[in-house]
Formats: sequence, C-alpha cells, structure tokens
Amino acid sequence: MEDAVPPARIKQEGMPTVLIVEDHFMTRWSAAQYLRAQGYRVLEAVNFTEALGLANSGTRIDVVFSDVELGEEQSGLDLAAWFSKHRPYTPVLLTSGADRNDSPHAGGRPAAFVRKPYDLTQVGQMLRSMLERR
Amino acid sequence: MDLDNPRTVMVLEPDVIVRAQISDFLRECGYRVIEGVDAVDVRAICEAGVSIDILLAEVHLTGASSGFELAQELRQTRPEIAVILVSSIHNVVDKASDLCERGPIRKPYRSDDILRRIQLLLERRRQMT
Repeated sequence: MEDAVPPARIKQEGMPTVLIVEDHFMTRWSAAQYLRAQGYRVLEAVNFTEALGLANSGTRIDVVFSDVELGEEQSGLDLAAWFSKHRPYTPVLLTSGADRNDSPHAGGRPAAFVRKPYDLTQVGQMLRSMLERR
Repeated sequence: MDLDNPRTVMVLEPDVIVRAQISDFLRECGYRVIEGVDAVDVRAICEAGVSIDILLAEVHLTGASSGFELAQELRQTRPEIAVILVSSIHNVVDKASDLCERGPIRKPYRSDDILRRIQLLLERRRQMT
C-alpha cells in the first residue's frame, strides 16, 4: 500500500487526483465540476467514513479538499489529522462557513484553510501551490 | 434525450468505492458523470436545471426513497431521463460496460477488469475494518 513516500520519488503521471469531501451535494458538485475542468481527476466523498474508505483502498489521492463540518460523524479536522499521521505527503485544504476566530489546527499543526463561501479560482490556485510545494 | 449521443450520466451509488470506480470508468469512456448517493441528490440536480441523459442507480439507496420509487417518480417528472436500475456489483459493472460500448470513446477495458478491480478494493477495505 502506498504510504509515506517522499514526493521526489513519486513519478507524476497525468494530472493529480484531488479528493473532495463535502456533505452538501450542490457544493461538492460545483467544486468537482470546476476542478475536473481544470484537468484534475476528482474523487468525491460525502463524509469522513467515505474519505477514509477511499484513502485506504489504495486509490491514488494527491491532495484533499475537505469541509470541516461533515454531518454526524468525525469532522474535516479529524480527517486532516488522519492524513497528517498516515499520509504526511498528502496536503489537506480545509474549508468552513462557521465562525472562526483563529485558523483551524489539525493534529497540532495549522491546516491550510479557505473560508466559505470560497472562490473556486482561489481554491484552484491554493491546491496547485500546495501540490507544487510537496 | 439523444440516445444516439448520450453525454451525461448520473451515478447513484451509496458505496463510495463502487461509485468512484464506476464513475472513473464512465468518464474515461467520454461521459460526463455526476455522482450522487440518494434521491435528494437527483432532485437537486434536476431542480438546478442540469440535464441528465441517463441515471444509473442502485436500488438500495440510503434516504427515504428507494431506486424503484425514484424511477417511478422520474417517469412522471423527467420522462426524458433513461433510468437504469442495478442491484449488485456485477449488475452495475455490466451496465457501465454496456454504456461504454455506446460511449463517445472506445475504451479497451473489459468488464472483468473493472469487476476485479472493484472486488480487490472492497476486499482491501474489508481487511481494514
């Protein structure tokens, strides 16, 4: 199972894969549409359990874009903490519409964050720079 | 609906691994694919004015409506959508293969390969839990 492989040793084949985790259907769909149009391969998950199911299946994920609020189960913060621990080379971008006084921490480190309502162009740029920085 | 030139498929499948694999496969065959998990997602898409040519739906949906109920509802409200119901992984792979036979891009995949891939990923998930 692919795990903590340093980026330099990953041969980039084709466009990167982004995992979008979002429980509101239309929000998820419009982000997915946009990122596919940018050339990403997009995987969609509606909650923490689905996201983990995909992460553990061995299917390739290069970057994660997740809402913090994911319905009844664990949150996007828990997801970011999981990735930080098990997939340290996979960057996670979090988003939230909730009031926040400080930026979210996931696993003790500040997580990349964009506030809702977000501009998809800005999200695209953030994901790209996160991928380049790996 | 242009059955000779179908372009948009909505895949309704509660199991994320099956949904992701089938959706990937259909996209590689040239379809635009919208992913959903329940009837509410389909209604949201229809209300948004997005046109769907084909709905590929699992009968055992989460939420209030089953695939059968949704199919009946759509026959009244959206008769132009071709509804394909599936009830097993073999089913959904077969139907996806059929769609790809008629799809915009000829893909050299055989349905056996897709099925095997899904089964492998599901087995891997089962070992994790």
